[in-house]
This record gives sequence, structure tokens and C-alpha cells, in this order.
Amino acid sequence: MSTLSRVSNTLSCIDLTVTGALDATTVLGIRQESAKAATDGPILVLLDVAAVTTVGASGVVGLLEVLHLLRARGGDLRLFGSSAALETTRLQAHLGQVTRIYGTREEAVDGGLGPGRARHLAPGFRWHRLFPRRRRTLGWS
Amino acid sequence: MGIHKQILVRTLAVLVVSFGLIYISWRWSGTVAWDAWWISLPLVAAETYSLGESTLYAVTMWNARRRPPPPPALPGRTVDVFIATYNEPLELVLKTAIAARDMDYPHETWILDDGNRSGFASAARQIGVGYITRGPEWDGRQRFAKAGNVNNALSMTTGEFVAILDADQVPEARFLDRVLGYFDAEEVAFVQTPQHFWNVPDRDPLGSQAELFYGPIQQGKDGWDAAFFCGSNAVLRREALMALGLTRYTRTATEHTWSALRRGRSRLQDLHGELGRRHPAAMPVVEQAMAAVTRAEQQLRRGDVLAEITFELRVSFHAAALAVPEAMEDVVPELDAVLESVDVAHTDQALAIHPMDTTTITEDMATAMHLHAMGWGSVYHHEVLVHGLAPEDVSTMLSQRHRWAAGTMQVFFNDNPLFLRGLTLAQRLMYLSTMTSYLNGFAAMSYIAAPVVFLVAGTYPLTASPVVFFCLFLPFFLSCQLLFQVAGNGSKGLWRGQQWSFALFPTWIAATCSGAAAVFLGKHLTFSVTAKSKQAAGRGFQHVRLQLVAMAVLVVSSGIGIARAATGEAPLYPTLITLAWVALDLALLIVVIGAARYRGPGEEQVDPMPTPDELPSVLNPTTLTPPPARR
Repeated sequence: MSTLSRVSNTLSCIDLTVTGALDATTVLGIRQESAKAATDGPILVLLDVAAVTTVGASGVVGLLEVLHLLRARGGDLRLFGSSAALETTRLQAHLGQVTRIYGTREEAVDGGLGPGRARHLAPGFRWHRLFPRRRRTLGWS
Repeated sequence: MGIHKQILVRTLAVLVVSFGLIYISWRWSGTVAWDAWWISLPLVAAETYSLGESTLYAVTMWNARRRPPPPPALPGRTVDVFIATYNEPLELVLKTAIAARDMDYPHETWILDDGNRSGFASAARQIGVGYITRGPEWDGRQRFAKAGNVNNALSMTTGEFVAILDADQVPEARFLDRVLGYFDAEEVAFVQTPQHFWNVPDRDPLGSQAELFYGPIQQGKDGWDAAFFCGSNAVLRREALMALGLTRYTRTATEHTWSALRRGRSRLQDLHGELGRRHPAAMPVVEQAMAAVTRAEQQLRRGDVLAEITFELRVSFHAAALAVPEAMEDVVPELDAVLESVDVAHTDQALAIHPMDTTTITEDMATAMHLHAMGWGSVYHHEVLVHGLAPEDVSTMLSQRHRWAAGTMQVFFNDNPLFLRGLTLAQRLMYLSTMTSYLNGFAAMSYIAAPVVFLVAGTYPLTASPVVFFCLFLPFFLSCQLLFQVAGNGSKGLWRGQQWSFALFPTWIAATCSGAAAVFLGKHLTFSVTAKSKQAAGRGFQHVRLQLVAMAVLVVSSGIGIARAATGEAPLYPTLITLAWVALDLALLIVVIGAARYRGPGEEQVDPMPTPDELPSVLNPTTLTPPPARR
């Protein structure tokens, strides 16, 4: 079925909250709830991440799978809330490139249809960047 | 490895490289027969390649690591055990599943049935293990064979650790207890244990046991922190796999969106032209969609968040389509396809993120290589804890080796370890040595052709005095063999391994060509599941006909060479040396005779893992008494 025919400017919303660790177990629960909510049509899932205390790669991957699931059904996932754990983790760099964590629920509802804000400017060319020091990533802090 | 043994290995390694460099320098500097360059150059190139392989073997063995007993497994770990199956019989899978279920360390067992067979689901329920198959989201999408099957299961489970077993690999009860302790070190991404096959007789006619690989070679790689993940009999850390998948996803996300937008614009332009002829009223829809693509490209240049860009694109497409309702039928399928390919959530695929590498049919090696490149560590635990089944006929064995080699060469051409950022030099060499070993097919061709050309036509493939040749070649050759034996550390099947490395030259050449065609020409490589039972047409000389032709040519050319020497037409000593060379070639190639005649294991091969008592009742539903579910 066409996902385009199901998309709408005024998606119905459901609110979910994640508390504690953002890991494989918690995101599996979010995924199941999102899938259930999306059975009747496109849905906007608003996920409050303010109470997240730790973040794992499994958690972030799981969130992107939830985004995938909802988008495939014409809906969307928006994260909101201020979480120190999410802001300080190196995963933020990965997550921030793909999706935004909005400050408030209202901003999240407004989401992609509000005025665009620059994430960052494209870096200019620098010769020294051709020879960067190797950075190793032993998982996620 | 004891200190004395290590000193001996290192001494031999230095000798191999030194003698080899002297020999090959001499060969290139003054012995190439330029008037017969067409045979002389391939031969000297093959010898140079062999020196390279010997050097890489020496480097591998230089640092071989025998690990002390592992630390005990900490309690409280959560583990998912995956048994991957596609078309294996139920009895085989259940035997593995029951043994996996009964492992001592607490865990969840899952049958990953890529064949989506209803009987498997009910059998899994009866024995109290989980059952996972692909959902409808996979319909019409790329499935990525075993890697896709495991990725699908990863997205549905939550254990901190994932043990992967092939359908025919039956674990001992202590398997998890023996390996989980290694994960106390937080940088360890996976632990690999040996693959051991109980259905292989001592003479191992198909060269299945690979004791050299699952022994000194893996220990050597482990010493350089580059132990290989081999797809089964291993435990992996979920966070490492997810970190790998996530990194790969975000690294390519912007680039992916750019190229998808470009392709989308091109598709919309084609649609626009087509609608001009067919349905002009629908053209404004496509014009608005192209304007939306332009806006998305601007936002991408500005660095806006990808999820917002692609969502806005979707809304714009929707608004454009609604503006001309009668055009929906003509434009929506194409707009949908563009949106799916652009969407940052990869809605054109079944999963957004693929932790196990899906770019090759040897997903295990590619995944391990990228984990190492990210800085994760690995462990090779040298203890047989899982008992499996090897191919029982030559055809299945050849198909399996071709798949390994083609997948490995696919990675070699597509994702060469020499250019992969993050690997240490030693890790690069460890991956390179495995990949380049499959180029041996071309070297073997030279080693077969050169003596034939001399014996038949009298054309010298090199110009040198036999005495000087012996003085320089023999030290290199003998030191190589000595290193092979000493570093092999008593492994059985060393000679058998050399025989197969040489005799499988048609397979290696075909696999190299397949790997290259997959990368450079976009040809599809098929993941052929290894048959777990004897195939009716799998035996016979037709499967090794190229090797038989090579042997016949060698024998005939030897006869011609002897006749030429007897009549004084050919010099005696060069002819004798060449005949010795032919004898060595034949000794290596003759392994295919036994393989072609092999009828499978006899009664003396006994499965070390007993058949579970409950298996007959599960296989025969009339006597069914379902046990309480574990999940």
C-alpha cells in the first residue's frame, strides 16, 4: 500500500515516555507500542526522553527502527525533553545528524514543518583534514 | 606457545623471509627467460606471490597466542542463542535447538527460520524455545541471506550477548560458561570457538577439519587482536554490533540522501516527460514534487536534520498529489518510490540498520573486520565446544568453498583491509593473508603450466644453472615447510591442507572472478546454503574434471619429456628436475581422486552429542505431550 496516500499534515499523536536506560529492552517496548498504535493509520509518536539516564547503541538503533516502522506507515517519531545523558553521550553526534531532540512537546509536534534551523554549516576544505589522527571508538560513553 | 617454541618459530620465520628474498631477487634479476616471457613472467609472478603468502604466514605465527583458561562467566548476563536455518530438516534443527536450550548458563534460545516453515514454529513451541521468522516488512525487499536473518532477530531480541549457531552445530552444555567470561573486558566484541565436525573420518578426504585454521592460524590472528568471526560457534556483544550498524548508517546517511534525491529528481523528470504525452493535467503534481526536491537539496546543503528534511518532502509530495486528485493513479506510485528511497529511515528496506554486514555473502568476516576497525577486540577460544556436520560429498564441499572464497574476494575488492581506516597494520595483514590465499588458484596454474611447457616444447621458463637454482631455492622451500610443520604445532591435516589449497585452483579462480564481477560489474552473488546431508549427485569424477585434465596433461607431458631426454632432444638434468616438479604437482592434485570417490562417513563415525529423548515425540505429533513453555 502507498505510504504517500496515508501521510497527513495533521497526524494524530500518542505520547510515550522512556525512563532510565535507553537500551534494547526499553526500545523494544516502545517499538511494540508504536506498532500497535500505527495499526489504525499514520501516527505521530512523541517520545519524552527527559528521564533517560543512560544510553546504549542498541537504544539508539532501536529508536531508528521505530522511526523506520512509523515512517513506513506514513507516520513519524519525534523525541523531546532535555536529557543530560543524551546530551553528553557520543551517540548524540550520530542521533543529531539524523533526527532532532526537541526542547518541548510543542516543538516536537511542530517538528519538520516549522521554520528550518541550521544543524551546522558544511565545513570548508582544509588540507590538514586529509591527514587526521585516527580516532578509535570503543563503544559508547 | 612456550618460549622455546616461539623462539624456534620466529627464527624459522626470519629464515623463510630471508631465504625467500634472496631467491626471489635472484629470480627477477637474472633468470627471467624474456624470449619465453609468456610462461616465464607468470611463473616468477607466482613465485613472488608464494613468497608473499609465506611471509604473511610467518607474520601470523610470529605472535601466536595460547590463552590461559578463561575467567568464569559472571552471573546475570542476558544471552540470546540464535540457531540460523533456511532449508535444513526439522530433526537436525531440533537436535541443535534442544542442546542449545539445555546449555547451563541462563539464556533464551531462538530458532531463526528463514524458510518460514509452519512445522518449525509449532516444534519450537513444543520444546520451549523461541521462533523468529521474517515478517511482512521483508516482502519484496532485499533479504541478505543469513545476515538478514540474524539482523531481523537482533531487532526482535534484547540480550546483552548473542550466540550464533548454524543449524547443524550442536553445542555442549558448558558452551556459554566457557566463553562469557572473556566479555568482562569491555572492549571484547566477540569470542570465536573452533568448528569441529564429528562426521569426518580420520583420513578427511574432503579436507573439512581445518585444524590448521582453527588452531595455529586463529591463534596467530588472535595474537594480533584479529581473531576471525566465522559465522557460527561464536558469541557476540550486542552493543558492539549495534555500534557498528549505527556508525555505518550515520556515516552514509547524508551521502545516501544526496544520491537518493538526485536519483529521485531524475525519475521525476522522466515521469514529467511521460505525462506530457499521456496525462498533461498531472504535470503540475510532478512540477511541485520537483520543487520540493529542490527545497530538500537546499536544506541538506544547509545541514538541516535529515528526518525533518525527508518528512517535509513527504508532506510536500502529499500536498502536491492531493491538489490534482485525478492524477493520483498516474503519479503516486512513482512519488512513493522516490520518497522511500530518500527517507532517512530507509523505508525502502525492511530494517533501517543492519548490524551484520549485508554487503557480502561472507558477512562474518566483513563484520569482524569493521568491528576491529572501530577498535573493538576479539578472542579466539581454542576449545571444541560445538560439534557439527561437514559436507559429505565433493560437490557440496566445492560449493561451500566457492561461497567462502567468492565472498572473501568480494570483500577484498570492495572493502580492502589495506584501505580501511582504523585497523592496525597487523590486523590489515591478517585479513589480507586470508583474502590473498584465494589468489593461489592463479599461482597453481603457473606451477602446472611451466613444467608442461618445458617437457613438451623444450621451452625454458627460467634461465639458470640447475646447481645455482637448487642452492637458492631449496633453503627457501625447506625452511617454508619446516615453519609450516613447527608452527602447525602437531595439527592433523597439514599436508591435506596444502593439497587442497593447490588442487582447488579452479574453484579459487572461479571465486575470484565471481567476487570481482560482483564488485565491478554488479553481478549478484548467491548465498548457497551448505547441504547438511549427502547429495545424490554429489559424488563422482565429473565434479573434479578440471583437476583430472590437469593431471592427465602432466602425465602425458612427462612421457613426452622422458622420450625427448632419452633421444637426446632434451637435456637430462633439467628434465629430471622438471619431472620432480611434476611429481610434486601430481602429489598435490591426487587428493581429488579420494574426494570424488568418497561415499560419506561410515558407521565408525559416532555423533558425540546424544539424540535427545524428547526428539521423537516432537517429530511425531501423535505422541505429543507439550512441555511447559519457557517464554
